[in-house]
Amino acid sequence: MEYKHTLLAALCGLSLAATAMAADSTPNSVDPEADRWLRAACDKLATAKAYTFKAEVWTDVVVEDHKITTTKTVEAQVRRPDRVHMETRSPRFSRGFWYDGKTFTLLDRPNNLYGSVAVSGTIDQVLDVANDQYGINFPLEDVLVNDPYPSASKALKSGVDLGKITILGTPCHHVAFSTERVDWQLWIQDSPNPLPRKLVITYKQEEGSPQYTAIFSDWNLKSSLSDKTFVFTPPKGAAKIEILPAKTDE
Amino acid sequence: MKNQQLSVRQVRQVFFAVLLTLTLAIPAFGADRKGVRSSNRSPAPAAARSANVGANRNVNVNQNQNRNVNVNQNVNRNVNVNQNVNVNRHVDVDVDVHSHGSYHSGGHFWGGFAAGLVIGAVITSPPPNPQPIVIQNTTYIVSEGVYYQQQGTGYVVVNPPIGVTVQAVPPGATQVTVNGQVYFLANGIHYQPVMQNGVTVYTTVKL
Repeated sequence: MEYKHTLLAALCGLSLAATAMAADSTPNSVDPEADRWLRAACDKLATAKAYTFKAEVWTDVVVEDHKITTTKTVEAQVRRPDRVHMETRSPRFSRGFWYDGKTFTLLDRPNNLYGSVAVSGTIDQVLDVANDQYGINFPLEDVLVNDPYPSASKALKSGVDLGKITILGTPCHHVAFSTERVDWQLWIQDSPNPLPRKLVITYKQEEGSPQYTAIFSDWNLKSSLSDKTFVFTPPKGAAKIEILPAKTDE
Repeated sequence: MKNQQLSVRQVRQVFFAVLLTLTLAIPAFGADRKGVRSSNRSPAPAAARSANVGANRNVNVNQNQNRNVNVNQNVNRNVNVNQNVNVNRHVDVDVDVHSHGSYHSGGHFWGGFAAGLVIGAVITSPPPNPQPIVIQNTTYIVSEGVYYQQQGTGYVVVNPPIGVTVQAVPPGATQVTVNGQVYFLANGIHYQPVMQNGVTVYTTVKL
């Protein structure tokens, strides 16, 4: 019965959302329950001093009329406020990323080439520097930043609560949000540990509306991660090369 | 029976072409998609650089307009060039849009080099999505990051000119170190690897 109500509310929410999206100037209509779940998940991450997780990520690639989904795995180690180590693996593009509070390093594993940039600040600041100055985007940046809620809730035009659903055996709560540029959905573990289990981002302004899908696993919020975890040590035979500033449109 | 075989082959060819293009388009870490956070940062100081569809589309359309001028001079393949707008747009979501229009290969990874095309190889039909460009009064046709010159009715694979950026080094390139800097040497040309926009690319240099 409760589920029915939830579903009804969700459907109403969706139709409201559709109405809201139809009229551009409509103020945002974020269902308080959806916001509550989002905040709970973000707070859980924000209050963790150090954590690790794994994710399997599917990224749509649209070429002409073909939409194909590529797959990679991500492993992340994060320590507040200024340490990150990530590894992403796929057959051609395995990469490592380290930020030790003073330097970030990107390792191109297949080519065994790496570049480093001296930088300081919080995880958020380094993500921005990497993005803005070097054109490096981060997979799953949304669960890396020190306080995910402000950026997640920013620019929302609508948000709906879609109720309970099980993701790979884990009971979750499904919420969906919309901004001008992207639609995104989050499945949050329905437990005292409201952690993200699944994330879908739809780049709706792009042709073919490609999606980015991540399934999270192996969350560990009680990790004790030493400084050493975040310090890059070049693999045998690796050569250092320059990281050039992002090329911009001219 | 013959027809059936033909159609299977055609399907294979199409599939291969798509596969190749997609292989080239797979985003790397670093050249990953933006998350919700970055997608909504606006107006980003680097808005022109962001993985914003509109921006990318405009850039590439402009590039292709420029190229079309050359296309008309050299080859009658406008249709294919225009198709490439789409390919580039998606490849470059995080990578290729940042390239210079006129001096860049088009941003494909593992292009003809990976297909085993060596310098001096001649192909009799036009390579896929040819992009004619003129560098220092020499006309090149660039396809999937490989530089060609027209020779009669064929296309011969040539060394890229100095100062251009390619996405892969030729097969058989050897790694050398000169004054502490690593290069890849192939056919007498030094390729300096650098990271740009999260991926490794190679600039041809004169040492």
